[in-house]
Amino acid sequence: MEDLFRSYWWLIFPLSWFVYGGFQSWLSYRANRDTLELLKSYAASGREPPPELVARLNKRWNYDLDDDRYDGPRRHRRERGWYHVVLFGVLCLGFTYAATSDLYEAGPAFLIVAFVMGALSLASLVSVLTGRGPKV
Amino acid sequence: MLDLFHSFWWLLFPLSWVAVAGWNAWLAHKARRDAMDLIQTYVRSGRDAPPELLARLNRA
Repeated sequence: MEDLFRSYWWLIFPLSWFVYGGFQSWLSYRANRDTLELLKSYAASGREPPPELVARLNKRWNYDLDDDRYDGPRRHRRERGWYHVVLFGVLCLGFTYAATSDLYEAGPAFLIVAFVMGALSLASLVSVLTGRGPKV
Repeated sequence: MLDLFHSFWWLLFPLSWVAVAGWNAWLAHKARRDAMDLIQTYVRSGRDAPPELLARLNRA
């Protein structure tokens, strides 16, 4: 068991990222549901909801409700896309170096990670250039 | 079992991605259902739902 941990301790970081992403989606969904519940109360009592509350509906539920970047001007989304292109590109280069130099004697493992990073960088580039991206 | 993990540890990444995508899709479905429920409340009270709410159905 200890050998397994010594070999794969680094998996904690990417897997934690997945868990964090899922948890953040859940919290955003809860915030969205609370907004809808409040609007429902207004509708049921026959009163007009405040415009600020209605404006919250313009935010996408699966992003941070206080984060304007995703629903802001298209330019901001493009900048974020380029950020991902560069980030994944540099990570790909780093892991390629680790793979070719057989760092920690784990060359094949680093090669797979380099492929994944390269694919993410290319996918981000296509997303920026075509102006489209995944909705989820 | 350990040998199997040594050979296929990289499967954790695509499988995690699939799990997160499925989780997000399920939450999106619940969000759409909540929006429909709210629209129903507006209809029952004889009022029009705000356009932001209707537009949300196409995005959530």
